[in-house]
Amino acid sequence: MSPKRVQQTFGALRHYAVLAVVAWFVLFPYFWMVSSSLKPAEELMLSPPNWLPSHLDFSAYQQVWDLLPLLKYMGNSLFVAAMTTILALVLASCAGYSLSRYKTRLRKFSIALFVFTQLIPSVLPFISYYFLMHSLGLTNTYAGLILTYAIWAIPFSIMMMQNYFTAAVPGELEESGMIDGLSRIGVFLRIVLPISVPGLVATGIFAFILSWNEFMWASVMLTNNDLKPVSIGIFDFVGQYSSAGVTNMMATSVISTAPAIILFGILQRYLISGLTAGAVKG
Amino acid sequence: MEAFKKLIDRHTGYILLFPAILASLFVHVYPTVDAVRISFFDFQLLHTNRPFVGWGNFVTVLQDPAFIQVFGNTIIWTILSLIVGGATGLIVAIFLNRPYPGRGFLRALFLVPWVTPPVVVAIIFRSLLSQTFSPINGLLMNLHWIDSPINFLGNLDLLGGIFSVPLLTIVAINVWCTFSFMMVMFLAGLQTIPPELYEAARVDGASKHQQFWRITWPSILPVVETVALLQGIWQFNNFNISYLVTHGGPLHATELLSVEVYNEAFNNFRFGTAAALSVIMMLIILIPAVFYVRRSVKHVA
Repeated sequence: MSPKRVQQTFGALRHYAVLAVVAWFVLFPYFWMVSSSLKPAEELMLSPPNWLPSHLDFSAYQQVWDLLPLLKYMGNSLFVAAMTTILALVLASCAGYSLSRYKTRLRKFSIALFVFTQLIPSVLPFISYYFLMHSLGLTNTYAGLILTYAIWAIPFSIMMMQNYFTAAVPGELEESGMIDGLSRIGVFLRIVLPISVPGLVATGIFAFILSWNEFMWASVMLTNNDLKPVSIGIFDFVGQYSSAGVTNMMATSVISTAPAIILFGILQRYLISGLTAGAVKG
Repeated sequence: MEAFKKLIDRHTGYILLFPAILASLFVHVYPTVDAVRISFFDFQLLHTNRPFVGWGNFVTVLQDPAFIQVFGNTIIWTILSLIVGGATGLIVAIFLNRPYPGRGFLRALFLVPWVTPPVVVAIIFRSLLSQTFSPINGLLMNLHWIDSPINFLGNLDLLGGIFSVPLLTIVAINVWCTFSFMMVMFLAGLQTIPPELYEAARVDGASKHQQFWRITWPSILPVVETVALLQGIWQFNNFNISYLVTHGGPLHATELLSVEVYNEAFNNFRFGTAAALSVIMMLIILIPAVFYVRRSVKHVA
């Protein structure tokens, strides 16, 4: 090999070596989660521990499936996350479109408002918000969760949608729609939204994941067992049975993490391009 | 009917914007303003009488001997999370910006911690870092780097007189959770740099080091500023890791301001002092927040 080739090969090896170290750092906790969930219970009490189970033992999955209403928790999480996504998309695409196309007098104010709401300490509005929701009769309801998560998601979602409309939807399409006699709302609904599916998907996953993972508000607001989402379900399980065994906790973790990761894996391409649109523009 | 349609057509921009503004006022602005009001009252769950106490709650909060420690923890947590997470994110972004195959896959892979529920992150790391059964301790002992297992989450010794081991540990967990989000932002910034700049620099014989400081760094500085402001504020407000991994313990060693507000309000039910504490948090981030808002408005409007 020529010296140049050697140098190139060496460069590539070093490149992948560094990335492999980062990948190991990122993946190791997941490896430990899956490995622990498949160990026979007695193998978790080894010190130093073994890295892989001596044989695969699925009994932890069986046990938590029987102990916990996991299907119900996941159903709750899924319902709340889906509704959150829809509500956030409706609000964010309307507002994002307005900010992208219309020079309203509220434009600067609303941009400042949306950015600022992302920066307030999340615990700050909590106390009054809790009493507000309580007096509206929305504590211990799905609506209380959905409304809250959707509105938490909208500042960032609006920014994503606004960037998408500005960057990816050409103004000429709308002009020709207007010439064909559509109203402005009609142009938005019939022309702009149908070609904005990638932007909507990106924003939608963002809202979905926010809702699926949220813990703090749900822990304060819910006392009703029937409405518990997965995050609260596992938290209570871990607290209640601290002796329940690490295998069971890990099995629950695997089950509850999988949906968000799978969804992300399928749709990550859209999400990442949506996330980065905001970064470059500041 | 025709007139109504015209009316809608003339105000489309406002009609589309209003619902989101109303929602924000309802969920963010009203409760924030009301929290300031509550901070001046002795507001406790079981007391029907809620008298005005002026600055009383603020005095109580500031005189609490734990306050200085919790405040210090929050500052150390914010700065370390930002520097270590940002540096990791930037280095990985630079590696991923080269045209080797597999970079799209790795970029997505590195983002997985960001979509993992914090409750699960806490369960995994509590097991990974437990004193007795920790694989990390096992590995370190096998390598003979340490003689006895480290109690990552329960040790009360201070390193260099300021850094407690549990606090550094939860910072490390936080870096694991957040570095990839910063990486994605940096990567987007790096991709706007025209490759010709590097080619020209190579022709002129610039070293890698020079290329970084003369081309890369100045080009992504606006992104770095944005990420630093946003992440700095978000990490200052961060609640989940400290609350879920260690509950702020042992003995306040990992307690952050947001966790103290939560405990004061929803475990001790002293809403007045909790609100006062959260108003103090707000005042601390107000300057960087206003700076960030002004930047964004100027940029977009």
